[in-house]
Amino acid sequence: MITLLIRIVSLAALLYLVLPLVVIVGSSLTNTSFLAFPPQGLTLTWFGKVITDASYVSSFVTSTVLAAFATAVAILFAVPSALAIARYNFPGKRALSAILMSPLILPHVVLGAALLQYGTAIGLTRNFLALLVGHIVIITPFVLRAVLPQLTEEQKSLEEASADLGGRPVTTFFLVTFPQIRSGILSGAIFAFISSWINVELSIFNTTAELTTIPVKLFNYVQYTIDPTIAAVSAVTILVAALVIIILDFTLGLDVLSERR
Amino acid sequence: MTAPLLNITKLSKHFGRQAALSDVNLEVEQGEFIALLGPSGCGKTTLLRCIAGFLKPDSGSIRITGEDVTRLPPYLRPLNTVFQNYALFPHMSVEDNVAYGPRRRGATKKDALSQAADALELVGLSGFAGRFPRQLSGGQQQRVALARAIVNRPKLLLLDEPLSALDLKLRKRVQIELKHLQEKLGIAFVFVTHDQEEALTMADRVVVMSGGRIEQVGRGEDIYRAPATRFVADFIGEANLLPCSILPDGSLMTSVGALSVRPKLRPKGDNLVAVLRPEQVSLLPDGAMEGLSTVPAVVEDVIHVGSHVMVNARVGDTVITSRVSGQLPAQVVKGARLHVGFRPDDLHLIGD
Repeated sequence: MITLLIRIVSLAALLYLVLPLVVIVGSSLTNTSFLAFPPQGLTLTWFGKVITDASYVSSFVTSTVLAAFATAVAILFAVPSALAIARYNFPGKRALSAILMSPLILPHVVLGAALLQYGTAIGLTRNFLALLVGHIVIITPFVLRAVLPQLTEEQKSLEEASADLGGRPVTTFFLVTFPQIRSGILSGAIFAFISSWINVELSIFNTTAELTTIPVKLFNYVQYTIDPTIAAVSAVTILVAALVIIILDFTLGLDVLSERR
Repeated sequence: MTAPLLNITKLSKHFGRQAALSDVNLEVEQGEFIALLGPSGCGKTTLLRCIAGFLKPDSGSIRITGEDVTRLPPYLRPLNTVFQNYALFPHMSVEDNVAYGPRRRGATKKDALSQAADALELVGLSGFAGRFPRQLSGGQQQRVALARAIVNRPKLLLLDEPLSALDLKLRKRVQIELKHLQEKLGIAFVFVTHDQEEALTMADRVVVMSGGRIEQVGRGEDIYRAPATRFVADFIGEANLLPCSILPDGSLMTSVGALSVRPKLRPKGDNLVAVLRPEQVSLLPDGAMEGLSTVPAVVEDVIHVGSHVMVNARVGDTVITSRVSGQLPAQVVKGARLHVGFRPDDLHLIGD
């Protein structure tokens, strides 16, 4: 009885989450020149329009490269920071941890404005590097937060065991620490990648007509026109996300995200 | 004269203001089995972690076969450790866990695996090489941890309460096995435990610790017969502790009255304590017995503990406990008046 109730509730919740996606994908197939759901007729015209539009393709590329680079750098920042915070006591440890986490609680608009002002002072504005710096700042906490809980006392004693058996620090990291925190890095990286991929508030300060990310382009576009192009762009985004998840599941196994082995 | 295997000199370690170790001196010889025994917080694990290299002492030195290792990181020290929670690598198979040490010391994969197979055979786990730690019972994991530590054939093995997670029956069996293994390999063991029976069963010498200090080092029976301090007397086994002083004529005044005993040993200090083990106290329903000092007493409690009986008898303000292993005399019941007696030579005096 209770199980049945739980099933119904979770199904309803899932439906609630999925329906908007159905609507957006559905409207991308409409024949009309305005957004319509259910779609009037079926056509792939809007997808064709997106794929052949160089500005869309280039902002897709920008977003992807930006998110990939930012995630990679965030991992390189977050993992050593997490190790330092979890393993050592040093002056300013709490401050370091608070600073690294602070982008989570600061509004991205404020961060964006601040970064633009600072960037102007040092000549780092409206280019890929300026975008990258901002994205690294906001997504590093996601990786940090995912890795920190995995650096437990139990994990520390594994590292001690490795040292005891003659493992030097670098060997210990790659043979013992990394395999244990891999799932944390992976789940943190997925969150980080997605946060970068969908960001508007921060990117908007440093994008130009030529250099723009896909969410910023969408945001600008819908201010003037609403036609099924945006639905098609959204559908492509959803497709990419789904593909990423499926590829991850086949290669690494998504169970690594849900439980520590 | 060769240097001892392990030589610890004036070792001190503080955590904040708390002294975890103060002025610890200890020598361990090749092939010796040493137990570090004490209540939790006594510093025994801190001492072990300093020897292993996981903690840096504030002062003092640690030498292994004469070489000063005090500042060396753990991975350069010629010793291995069996951890309390075993610390097996969960993402590696049993044989990879055991081969980890030889691999780090430069053995080829083939050699490392063959050494691992030998070590696993030694601990009776030959058929388990391909399993993962989570697929093993606690006892089996403990053996893997042991195999992983001895595969490098260190001269010194540190064990941090390795049996504490095992149930009582298994623990007793593993104690004996471990002792046999230690004798067979000739590796010196430094074994941390809070279980005095474990320490007395296994160790050649027991190091009793309290409050970061070594209270006494000695063979188990010596520590039991002749505790050096009040703490040791109280901690090891059960003891009647009788406050006493030595009178000008050389005889002994105790809390249960004056005794015509002339103690051979006269420790320093005014506040002496006489230690009397419960099995050294006889119950005498019929009064005096030749060769024994006796005092009148009233039976307060009779406690049956299976193999023996503990009898608490009150003498004035003092309660004296006697352990009776044979037949309990019929007269010994609660409230009975009788005499308790002991051989004057059994009294062991401790100073302050």
